[in-house]
Amino acid sequence: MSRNVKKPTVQDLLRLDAIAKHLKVKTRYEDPTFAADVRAACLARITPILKEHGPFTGEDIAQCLGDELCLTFEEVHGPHDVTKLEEHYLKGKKEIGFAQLRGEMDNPDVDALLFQRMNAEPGAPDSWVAVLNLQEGRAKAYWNKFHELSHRIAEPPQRILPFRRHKFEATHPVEALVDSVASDFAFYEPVFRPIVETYAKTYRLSFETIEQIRNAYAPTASLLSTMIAVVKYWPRPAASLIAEFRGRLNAPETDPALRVSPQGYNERANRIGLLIYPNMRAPLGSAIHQAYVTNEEQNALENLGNWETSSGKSLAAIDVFTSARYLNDRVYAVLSA
Amino acid sequence: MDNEHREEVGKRIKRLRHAQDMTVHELAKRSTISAGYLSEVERGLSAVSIDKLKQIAEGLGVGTEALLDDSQTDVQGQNVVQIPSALSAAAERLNLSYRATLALFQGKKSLLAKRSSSELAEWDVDEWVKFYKQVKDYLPEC
Repeated sequence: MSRNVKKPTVQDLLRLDAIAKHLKVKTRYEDPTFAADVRAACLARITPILKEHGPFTGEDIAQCLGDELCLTFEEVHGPHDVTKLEEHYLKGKKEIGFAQLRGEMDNPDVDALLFQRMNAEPGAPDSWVAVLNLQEGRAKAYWNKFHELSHRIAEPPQRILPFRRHKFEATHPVEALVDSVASDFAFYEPVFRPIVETYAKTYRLSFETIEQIRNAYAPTASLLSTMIAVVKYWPRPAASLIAEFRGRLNAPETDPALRVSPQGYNERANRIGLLIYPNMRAPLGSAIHQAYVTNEEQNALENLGNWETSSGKSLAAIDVFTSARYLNDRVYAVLSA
Repeated sequence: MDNEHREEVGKRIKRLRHAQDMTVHELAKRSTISAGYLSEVERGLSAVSIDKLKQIAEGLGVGTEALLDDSQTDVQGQNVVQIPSALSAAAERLNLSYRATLALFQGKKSLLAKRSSSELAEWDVDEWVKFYKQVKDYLPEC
């Protein structure tokens, strides 16, 4: 888990212990291999299922795992969908929890809800119902499906008194762990890596290439999640970042500039030192800066030696191909050597 | 409790204490036992009675099961249904049976998880009453 994860509370620790026990993982949260062990155990659970039904697209994987875990996905695009779900689950199946649906879906902050049906027959395919709120757009739908699936795989079945996941926080120790599991499922390596490698034989790493890979594997995945996954499996050194106009980390009002947040890099990038520091300024002449100024996609051959930290230190002088795309007041960029 | 189990219990206590940044003295004080005894328990050197274990669990804010055997506890260290006080008050106002009250409680809890940037708030009495009015036609016969 690469993010700054908060220290677990006692309840988090007990929940993480329950995950370890459920997955028969011997290590504890404090052990350095815990996250890797949990991910490996989750993959070991799904591999036989996917082997039996493959090959797949990303959407097929979500559907297959949902079927296996008795989890049905429902999508809400507008109030009419809420009415339909109320008719089906509340009135039809007397699942009174669905009376909360309308109020929750009216809140744009709510991305997804997970219900455990009270009156489901054992093994019913909709024993669990994940409702995705897509009224504000589809961008998070793909990822949210895998996040909910990962909770179902990693955590023990609920008992009489089920817990609630409180506010979703990427830095929450359980949520961060589940997100790392979700990344393994959403871009399932045995299927996704060969697709990436096939495109890498012919194309440079650009947003056009990323979109082609997305269309081949998971058309509903977001650009951000696909970008991160493509970089991970790109067979040459590669890194991804997002650039935004902001100030220094410790003084947000000071020295505003187009500054970057690294999103990920692959092992090959690590080996040659293709690394960018958080909150560095994107050089004025860079494709990233040009994309921000013109609001258009930019591709260019550049040298990372032009990147300087505020203390005047340069990055390693590596020739890279940069592809930068402006989106919602930010620039997404991938760099490959 | 054999030595191995005693050591395991001691490790769990220490781990949960550390998770709350508590010193041995602080936990001993909260648990109304001596710090020396607690230290021995944590190191697996002293046997611990169920009464003392309860005190330590209370000091840590967890159920006793969390210290004994995690297979017997749910993820929150609780295994009893605790009806929220606001629901109890609503049930009294609506003159609901225990069964109907429990069904309301479980119905609300069937919404297990919310992926959201906003907080989940506990319901007050009026919200429970509103929920009852929405679902009364679908509650089991009481």
